[in-house]
Amino acid sequence: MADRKDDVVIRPASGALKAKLSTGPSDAPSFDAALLRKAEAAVKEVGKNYVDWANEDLAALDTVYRKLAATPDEHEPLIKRINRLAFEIKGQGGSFGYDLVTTIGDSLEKFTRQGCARNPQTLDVIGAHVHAMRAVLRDNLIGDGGELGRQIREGLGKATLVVTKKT
Amino acid sequence: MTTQPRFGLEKLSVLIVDDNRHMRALVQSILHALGIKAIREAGDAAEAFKELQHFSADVIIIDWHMEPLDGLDFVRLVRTAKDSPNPYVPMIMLSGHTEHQRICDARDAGVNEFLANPISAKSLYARIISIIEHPRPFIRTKTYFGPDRRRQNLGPPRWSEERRKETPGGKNKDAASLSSSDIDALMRK
Repeated sequence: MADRKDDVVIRPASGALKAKLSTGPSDAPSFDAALLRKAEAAVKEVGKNYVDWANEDLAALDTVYRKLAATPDEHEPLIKRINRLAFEIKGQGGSFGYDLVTTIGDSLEKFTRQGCARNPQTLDVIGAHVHAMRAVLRDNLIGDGGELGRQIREGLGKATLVVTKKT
Repeated sequence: MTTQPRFGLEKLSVLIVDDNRHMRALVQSILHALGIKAIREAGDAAEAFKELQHFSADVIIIDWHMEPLDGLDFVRLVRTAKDSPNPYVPMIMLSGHTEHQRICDARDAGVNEFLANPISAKSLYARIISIIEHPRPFIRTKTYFGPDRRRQNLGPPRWSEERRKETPGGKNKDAASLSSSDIDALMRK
């Protein structure tokens, strides 16, 4: 089966991997629940280091943020760097139960994606995200962070919207 | 009495390509727990391409956002470079970007599966099983080389409640187009 009728199938679907890894009968479940539990336990184990990792990323973000405040001439590359760090932070928190870190990282990543106006309001919004992430990690706000998490999301959302509309 | 699962992953070999060491550690720990022993890591696309010259990976798990070559560049390199050791190797793309266009771009570069960050053990396991269970033919067009982009709509994974509730023949018909079902399949959690 090809994308379109004039496309050329150059290799049929290969069952080599299936044959190599088959261990049970063909009607057996392909998914092993016990193995999944083991893998989930492994994620939890790795997650014990997560706050340290996240604090490293946060420290790097804070450094770039301070540099942005001090050297406005480097605005564009520093915003790009902040965007990249926010993207990395966003991609990890949820794996270890820190969904709120992912949410804040996502908000900062989107805010900085298209570049940002060079003004104090931009700095304020970035700073608010840095402070919010620090608070979440310091207070160990797991999951969506409950009521405090809702307030953080709402506050960042409003601040971001105001600045985005102005620019 | 426990049923022997259909697949054991002990013999699977996997190459992880990610410039973020924390993500590599996370993916590796999941793979280890799933029983996979042959795991190699690379911190960038060029290193990964070199690694492939002497490591025969059954599956490559690759991050999209890397520099100087990104994950898409790497996928295209593996699929189309003259000196590619294995243009047919199944690839799983990890990315924090989940917009429709991004997923289409990944599919059009030749990835087999797309996995949105933050990942979970279940989502990664599901993608690996999908690659084993549903191999696809490889096609060549004027502008594309890679796994057939038209998928079957396979419905929920075999282990899920929704799948058990399905009536035979209900949702498992061949999908006729690339449309939203392909995107859903790529994004299936």
